[in-house]
Amino acid sequence: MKCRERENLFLFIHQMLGSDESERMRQHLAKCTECARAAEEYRKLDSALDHWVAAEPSPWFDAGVRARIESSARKKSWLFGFGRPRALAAGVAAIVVIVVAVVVFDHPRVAEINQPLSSLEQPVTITPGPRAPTTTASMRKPLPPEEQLKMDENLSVLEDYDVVANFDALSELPQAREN
Amino acid sequence: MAVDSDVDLMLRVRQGDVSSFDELLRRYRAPLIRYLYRLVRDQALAEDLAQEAFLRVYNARHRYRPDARFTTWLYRIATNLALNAIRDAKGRQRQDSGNSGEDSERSFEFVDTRVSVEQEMIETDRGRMIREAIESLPENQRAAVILHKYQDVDYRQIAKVLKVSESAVKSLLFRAYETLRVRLEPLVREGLL
Ligand SMILES: [Zn+2]
Repeated sequence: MKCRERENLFLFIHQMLGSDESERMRQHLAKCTECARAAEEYRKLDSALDHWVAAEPSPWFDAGVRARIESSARKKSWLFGFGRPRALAAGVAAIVVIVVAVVVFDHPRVAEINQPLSSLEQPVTITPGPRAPTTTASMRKPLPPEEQLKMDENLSVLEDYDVVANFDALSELPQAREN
Repeated sequence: MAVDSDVDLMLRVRQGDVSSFDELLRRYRAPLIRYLYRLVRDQALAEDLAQEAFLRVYNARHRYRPDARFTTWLYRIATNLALNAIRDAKGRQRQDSGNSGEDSERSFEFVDTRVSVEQEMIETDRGRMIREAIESLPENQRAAVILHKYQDVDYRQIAKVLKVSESAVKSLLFRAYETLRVRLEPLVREGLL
C-alpha cells in the first residue's frame, strides 16, 4: 500500500514545500514507517544519480562560438546593408520581373498551343464576332508588328532581371527612387 | 572583490563589451554542455547546440532585458534547441526505416526493463543504467530532472525554463523521480553506490 503523502514526502525531501506543510510532513514522517523508508530511498536514489558523468567542453569550444558569431555578423552586415525599405522595394521589383517574365515566356507557348486548337475551333465557331477572328489570326501569325513591339518591351524588362539579380545594382534601384 | 553578476555582464555585452561575453562563456560553457549532453547523449551534438545557444544569446543581446535570470534564458534557448534536435533525429529515424540503430527508438520509448536492468547491472556501469532510465522519461520530465538534479536549478526557475507552472514542475519532478526510483531500484537497494 502506498501512503497518500508520498508526493508531499517527495516535495518535502527536495525542499519544495512551504514551511507549514514541511512541519506537518516532519511530524508525519516520525509516525509513518512507510514514508520513512521511502525518504531513505529518495536519498539513495539522489546519490545514485551522481554516477552519471557528462561530457566536458572540448578545448576548441570557445573558438567555435567565436567563429559562429563572426560568420553570423558577416551575414548580417551583408543583409542589413540594404536596409529594410530597400529590401522591400527589391522584393516588389523581383515580383514584377517574375510576373513579366512569366507573361513573356508563356506567350509564345500559349500561341503554340492555341494554333492547333484554334484550327480545330474554327469550324465550330458559330458566331464570327469581330473579336474572335482577330485574336486567332494574331496568334497564328508568328510575329505581328504590335506583338514584336511588346516582346521588345518585355525583353528590356527581362534584361533588367539580370540586373536585379545582381545585388549591387539592386541597391541602386531604390536610391534612384529616393532622389 | 565583488564578482560581476550575470545580469551586469549581459548588460555590458549589450553595450558592446566582448570581454563580458567571454566571461559568460567561461562561466556557463561547461554546465551548458553537460546539460545538453544529458539531453541529447552525444558530445559533438551537445557542443554544436551549446555553441548555437551562445550565438543566439549574443545575437539577441540588444533585446536582453534583465527581468529574468541569465541562466533561465540560456537554459530555455538550449532546451528548445535540444528538443528540436531530438525531434529531428526521431523524424529521420522514422524515415530511414529498417535500419534499427541502437539509438533513438529504443531510448525514447523504453520497453519494460526490469529484467534487462538486473542483467545489465552486472555487466555495465551504473552510469549507463542511470542514463537509460532518464532517457526513458518523457521529454518534459527528462529536462526537468536534468535541470533539477544535475544543473542545480530550482523548481521555480525550471518552471520558467520549461514555461509551465510551478505546480506542474513539482508534479513533473515527482513523476520522474518515482519512475527512476522504481527503475533504478536494484541499483539503489543493493547498495551499489
Ligand atoms: Zn506516510
